[in-house]
Parts: sequence; structure tokens; C-alpha cells
Amino acid sequence: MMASNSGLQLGVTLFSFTNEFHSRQYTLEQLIAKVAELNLGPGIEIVGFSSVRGFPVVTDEFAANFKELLAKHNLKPACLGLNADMYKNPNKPMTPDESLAYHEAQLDATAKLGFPVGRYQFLAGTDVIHRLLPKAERLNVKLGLEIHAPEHVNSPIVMQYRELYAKENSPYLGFIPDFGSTARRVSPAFISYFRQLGLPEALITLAEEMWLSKDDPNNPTAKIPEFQARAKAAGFRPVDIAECFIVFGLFSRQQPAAWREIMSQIVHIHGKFYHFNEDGSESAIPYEEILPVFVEGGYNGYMVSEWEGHFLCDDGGFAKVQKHQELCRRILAGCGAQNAVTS
Amino acid sequence: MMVSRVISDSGLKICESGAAIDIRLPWYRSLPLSTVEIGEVRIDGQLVSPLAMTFEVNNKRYALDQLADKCDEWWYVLDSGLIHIINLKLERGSQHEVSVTVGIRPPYIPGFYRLTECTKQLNAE
Repeated sequence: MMASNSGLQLGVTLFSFTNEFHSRQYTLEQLIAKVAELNLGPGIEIVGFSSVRGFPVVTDEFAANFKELLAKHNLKPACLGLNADMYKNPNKPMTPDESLAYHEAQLDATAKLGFPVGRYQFLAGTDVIHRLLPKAERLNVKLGLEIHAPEHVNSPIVMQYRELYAKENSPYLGFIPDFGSTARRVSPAFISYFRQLGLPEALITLAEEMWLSKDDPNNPTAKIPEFQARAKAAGFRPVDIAECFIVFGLFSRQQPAAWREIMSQIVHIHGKFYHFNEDGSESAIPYEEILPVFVEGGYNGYMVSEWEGHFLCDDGGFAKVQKHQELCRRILAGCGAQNAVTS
Repeated sequence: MMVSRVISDSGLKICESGAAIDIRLPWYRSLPLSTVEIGEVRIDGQLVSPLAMTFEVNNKRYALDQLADKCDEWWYVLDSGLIHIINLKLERGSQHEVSVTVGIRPPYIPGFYRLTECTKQLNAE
């Protein structure tokens, strides 16, 4: 586990290298070696259902090799991404008992691979997380709810978890901010992508305008059906609407300072990014405003660089992550963070 | 983007029962087959009947309409799946336009359905 005064440490999720992995250019071992070579650690996050064949079953051999690999490269297990696959059967969601068993198996895998934190998703539900807590405590694995766009620290679903956390008051219950929820615009990378696909300019404009319009804090997902309905009424093709609506699920515009409310419960961070301005700043997510909030708030833990651009292009992730970490180091140095030089 | 990898390069194969197309899962993580749909398949513009196709993953073959029931059969993200087209005779080395549509419903994103269509010119091998 991380020392309690380590500050904000950098790292990377292997999700950033989806193109390299999916195209079979890099194996898991090669990705990890390259991360070490480029000094993109020390924190490592993986997605269980991506990096591990047969997940959530993890063989003794796989676990031993994986831990040895990280140790050899001086990398630290930071977080394992768990999934709430409630709709494995698309016509019949899992019962709470099935979901609990599904999460328990993934939590066992998290511990077996040596990860101190398991990222979980909203769909798990507070009852399942409540019932999972004793096992998390026994395994010494923290459960981190990812707060992903369009949700925010005060949205109704997050409040349900905050109420559970307040009642349980356990250090094994935490949050994982995803900075896509602290954006100030739709990433220009998506706008270019939509144009490249040949989507009608008026549809792109409608999406951007609606994204910028006033949000209903009590119903963060409201804009998705609203956009779909308006776009349909305007006569756009369903396939084009389906491409475009994703901006409402990847970006939302909570104020960076809002993270302060839950700062003491934050156990890990997804440093989401897509695209940079010429000066090296992220073109939609204001890291210059976000990171100081965490330094001033005394956050101790990892922020892993999470490039999701594989959705938009075939580029590799390594150069993007390097650029992201350069930006973050610069900002951290500027606000006097203790780890800015060493990480 | 992954869409360009849905059909593998060199992915048109001649086999005993006919022909097979090597395809990849257009998502970053493994999914159960129940969340995968093999949609339209065209060879040289001709639509192939779903009844003339089976889908192979993990060395097991399924009729396309059986996939919906396979909630615990996983398609690992690095593995190829094979669309078998029964009785399709192709000449070795001949070039064909192959088009495949795959739909996925990631089980942790309710209501999200992603359709990807990929077309490639491939030599039958």
C-alpha cells in the first residue's frame, strides 16, 4: 500500500494501450516492459477482462508471473478495473445475489494479483457493495466507485453511495474520479472524428450546443434521450445519432473544486485525456485547474493516465501518455507537489 | 480504431466445409457471446443467409441465433472468431470484397448497442 504522505503519484492504465494490445503488436509482458522503459509508472492499472484471459479466474501461475513482472520493472500495482456486467444476459439483469458472487470473484482476483484497489461501477448497486465490504476488508482491497461522466459528486446515484459510505465509515470504501466528468467542452478530438466519419455538421453542432446547455444536476443523464429525440425529430439518421450521443456519456462539466467534498475518500484517479493544444495543455479537460485541487486537498495515491483515443483512431498510446505525464509533472511542479520531480 | 480490425487482414480462408472469415471483437475487453451479434455478411456484395453461417469461438461452433443464450461463453479480446460460410466455394488466390457487421452490447452499459461494419478486399487463402 502507498505511504500515507506520498502525495499524488503518476502511473498509467494499460487501457491506454488498447490499440497496441488489441492489434497484437504488444503482449501484456511487452506493454509492461515498455511502460517501464518510458518511465510511465510507477502505478499500474489493468482491466481484468482485458489483460487476463479467463478473468475473473486467475491461475496461480499467471498471478506469480504478473507480480514478478511488475517487481522486475519497479512498477507498483495500483488498481484493477472490475466490471458490473449486470446485462451478461441482455434480456435479464443479474439478481443481487448473482452480482455479489460476480463481484466477489473479481475481488479475489484483485487480491491475488496484488492490487490494493478494485475499481467498481455504478451498476453494482449499494446493496451489493455493502455486502461485499467484509470481503474487501478481509482481503485488504479497497473498493473504489468510479465517478464517470455524466455523473458528479452530488448526483443522485453518487449520493446513494455517499450515504452508504457515511454509515459504514470504512477506509475500504472509496471513490475514483474520472476527469472526463470535469471537462469544459466536448473534446475537439471527437469533433474531428465525427467530421471524418462524414456526420452532418448540423448534427455535430446540435450535440455541442446541447452539451453546453444548462445541466439538470438531479438528472445527469437527461441530455442523452433529449438529444436523441431532438436529432431524430430534425431528421438525422439513427446511425449518425448513435455515433454522436456518446459525447454526453464521456464528458460532463463538474467544477474541479467539487472533488474537495469527497477528497478524503478518494482512493485512485483516472487521469482521462484525449487530445492536446499546441502548448501541451489538454484541449477539453483543465488539468491546470484540477490537479491543484488534489495537491491542496492532500490527496495521497495514484493518478493513472487514461487515454481513450483508441475509440477514435489507430494511434498508439505511448507517445500520448508521455505527453500527458509531461503536462501533469509540469503542473505538479508548479504547485509545489512533493512528488513532481521523482515520479 | 478497432472497426478496421473487425475483419482480420488475410482473414478469408478456404476450409473443408466452405469458407471462413477471421474476425475480431470490436471492443477493448472480452465479452460474453450473449452480447455479440453477427449481423450482415456480404461476399462480393451478395448477402449471405444467416442460416448458411456458423460462428466459432474457443473451438466451438454455434448457429448465429444460438449466441444470445451463451451468457457464460467468453470471447477473449485477443482471440479471433471464425464466421463459417457453409458450402461457399472460393478459388484459392481469388480476390473478394468481404463485408461484416458486428453488433455488441457491453453488459455494463445498459441500452448501449454498438454496430460496426468493416469491408476489406481479401484473397481466399
